[in-house]
Amino acid sequence: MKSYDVIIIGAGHNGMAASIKLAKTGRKVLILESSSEFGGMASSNILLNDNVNQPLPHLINHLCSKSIKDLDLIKYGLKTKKFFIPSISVDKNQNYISFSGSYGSQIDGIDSNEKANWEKLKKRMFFQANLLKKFLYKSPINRENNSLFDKLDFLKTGINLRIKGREEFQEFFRMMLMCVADILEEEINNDLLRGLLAFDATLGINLGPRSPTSYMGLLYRLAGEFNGAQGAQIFPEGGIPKLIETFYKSSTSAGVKFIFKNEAKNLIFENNKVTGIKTQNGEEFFADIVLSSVSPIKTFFDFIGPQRLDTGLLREIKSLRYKGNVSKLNLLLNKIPKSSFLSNEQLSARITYTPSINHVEKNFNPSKYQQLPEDPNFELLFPSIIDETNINNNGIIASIIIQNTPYSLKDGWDSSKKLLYNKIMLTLETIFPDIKKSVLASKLISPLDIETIFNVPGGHWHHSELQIDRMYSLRPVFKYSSYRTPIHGLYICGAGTHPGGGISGKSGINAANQIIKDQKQNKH
Amino acid sequence: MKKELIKSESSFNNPLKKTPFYEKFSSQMTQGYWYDWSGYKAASIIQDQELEYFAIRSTTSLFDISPLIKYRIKGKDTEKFLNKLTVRNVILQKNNTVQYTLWCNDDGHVLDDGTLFKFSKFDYRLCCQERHLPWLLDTAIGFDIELFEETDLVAGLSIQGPTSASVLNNAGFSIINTLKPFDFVTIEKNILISRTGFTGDLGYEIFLPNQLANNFWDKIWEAGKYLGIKAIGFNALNIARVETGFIVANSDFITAEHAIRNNRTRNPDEIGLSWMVDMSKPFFNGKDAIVKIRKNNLSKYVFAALEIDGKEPADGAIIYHDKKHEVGIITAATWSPTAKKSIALASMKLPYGQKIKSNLWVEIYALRELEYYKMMKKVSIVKTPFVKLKRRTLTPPLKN
Repeated sequence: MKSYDVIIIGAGHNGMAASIKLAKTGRKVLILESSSEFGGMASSNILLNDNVNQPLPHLINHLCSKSIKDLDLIKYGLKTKKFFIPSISVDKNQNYISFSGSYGSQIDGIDSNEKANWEKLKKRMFFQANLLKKFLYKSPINRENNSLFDKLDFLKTGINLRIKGREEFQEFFRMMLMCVADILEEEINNDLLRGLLAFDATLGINLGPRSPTSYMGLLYRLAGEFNGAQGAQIFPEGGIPKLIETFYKSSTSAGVKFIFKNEAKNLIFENNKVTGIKTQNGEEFFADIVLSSVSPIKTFFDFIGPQRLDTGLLREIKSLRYKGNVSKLNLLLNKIPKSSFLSNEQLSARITYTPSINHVEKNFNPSKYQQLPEDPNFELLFPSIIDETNINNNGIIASIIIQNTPYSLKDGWDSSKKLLYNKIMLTLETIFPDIKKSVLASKLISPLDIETIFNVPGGHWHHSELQIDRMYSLRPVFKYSSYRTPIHGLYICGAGTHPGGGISGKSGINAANQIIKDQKQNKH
Repeated sequence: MKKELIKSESSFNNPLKKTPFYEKFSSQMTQGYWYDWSGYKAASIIQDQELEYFAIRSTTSLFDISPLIKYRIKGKDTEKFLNKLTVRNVILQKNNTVQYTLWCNDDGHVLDDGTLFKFSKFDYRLCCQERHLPWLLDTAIGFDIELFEETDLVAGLSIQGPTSASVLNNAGFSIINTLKPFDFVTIEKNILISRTGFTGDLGYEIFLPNQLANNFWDKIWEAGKYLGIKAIGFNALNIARVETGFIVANSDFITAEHAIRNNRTRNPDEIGLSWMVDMSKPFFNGKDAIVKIRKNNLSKYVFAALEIDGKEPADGAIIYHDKKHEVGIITAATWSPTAKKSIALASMKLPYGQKIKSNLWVEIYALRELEYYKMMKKVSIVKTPFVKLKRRTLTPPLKN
């Protein structure tokens, strides 16, 4: 039987989140996945070596308590024991600050004056992030979805903001579109702290800390929560693979059918109405609703096709910026590395190599000219040190996310990988003098590799740039920010739609809600 | 060096271009009425507007249409591309015919109207008022076609009037006798003759390579010597086109890319061209929007043809209901010498002009020796054309 109520393209966490919502309403749901794994970009497709997996992401900060409840994740094994992961910002001279709790509620390594400065800035940033949070997880208000109820949210936010007094009100609008560097330089003095915040604000997007609007990146991060802990970076018990497994279990238990290694190739539609999907094997699956969780670039260009897109829309989709700039380096070490200045306990932190704002900015500059950064900034995590349940017998995994490594390199990625690897190792050796010798296996995944492995054009972690011009009701484009498309019955979710990347499940949930609502009203 | 380059490439600093027929028209010019038509120097009046009008209606007129923007579209997917671009179905168009057409943006607002010449299903020419290359190229994404502008390569001459067929016969082009309206034929040296025009009269349009323009003119002029042939400017043509009820982009409606204000754009239904929109096509630019517009009755305006009491032309006049409420504006008006009436084309706010057709008035201000005469004239809504001529469609054509 190849007929379903809903076919979802892609078994990423958003596709699975949508499937859970839809299957729970009694709909017959099929998920088509091109690879052999569930989890999409968070799947464990990347073998470090034959026995060891380490997915791209290693931390979460956007999985809110409502989503966890909506998707029954606890029932299917999600542990909400919170591993708040502190951050330790280091430079090459063995200086560091340690930043812990839910985004810097405790800081070590700075004096009391600076602490007071940080507290002041943090308070303001959290206030502002809280305002944005109201909009972060809901479907965007746009031309089609603008009930009085929705509009009241805007009003309430405005009132909340105004009640705080004229100063907060003005500050919000002054700061909102600023570059993060200017704000940090105004408020705090410590280079390592500034560097860390500058890194966090710009990781995953094509902005430097001195680019206008880069502050928004930090607010976006701070607006996130995990099960109520706002701004926290969480290591889910058992790691990302375990978390993704709870999505899968919840989905299959709800009755969702998965078909792997069968790539959706063409959309079948008639008279502007979707009727099904044809796969690469030539198989056909039928449904009135198709939900594509893959990149909007792929959905609009490959599934709908330029011939069927209004020219204005085509121009907009064509102009989406979707080239990623983050690489991943996974290392397998034969022992827990020994640091010359960090205690063993501190190895369960997120270690960021972020000496200063200018350091991060200088590394951003070459990316504009398709070059690798001089001295790359990165964050490093030892998943198996953080969580004992994650230990395997093969060795210690180091999971490293490298910033400002553009998709297109002048010299090409083939010849640049070794260079980038060496640069990272050089820095790592200043923290862990013996690390080089203990590397058993390594795998560097460039944005180009991400494109190939995960079928994401441009290899962008957010599918398309998550900047202010493409946020909220402008994501992926204004006209289709309600998870719909020009083809009736074809919907979109995934990182390319609001609220964007990170493991939140929200775009999947929102899309599912839209489908349910539209079918109830017999619309679309 | 760089500065010079910018200067020579900028249309703002350059004199208007001359068409291949420029010398022929300018040598007859007794007036100074030139205007800018798409960067070309074009004549409003050659000698006398009225005599030129009567050449259209009584003998033969020659009007320079070289500045028409012309695009050539060739290749495997030409028809698929044109079916996305335009609202009509080009597959239904026969080879060697011309189709009046229009195209819309995503919102279903009209970008321009124009004529589409079909040589074969792999080869078309699109003629229009405005330049659209970026829009056409972006629309072409995903289609296997070749698209280029040939405005500067192809000269055009419109030969209109009751003796025009005889002129062409005299000149040796008897091949035109079998042409029905909207047919065209390509003869030797790549000369294209179509039975089209903007006058509502018997007439032909000739498209030919630039270098043939001079000789061709001489041949036609000689052939028309005793048939009242006359070079004309746009003003005379404009009277004839209003009489026929033809609209002009950015004159009778504002094209979507030119409109600065939101409510100035128009969908095809609002400019009287709903008949063109082929909703049976699976898709075309703006279809989704037009479906929505029609389903929810979102059109706000209607195109209307008006007859006005009295003889004052009502250019730009405001239309009132009950002499009180503004309900529309006149976009083109003239005294029709053939219908012997004051006529006009107008854009009216619904439901006026559609459900409410009576008690409509226009306010005309006539300036007579530095004093305004203000008149409230009664308006009646009629159907176009104001002037219907049998000879326009008669095949074989009338020969005098």
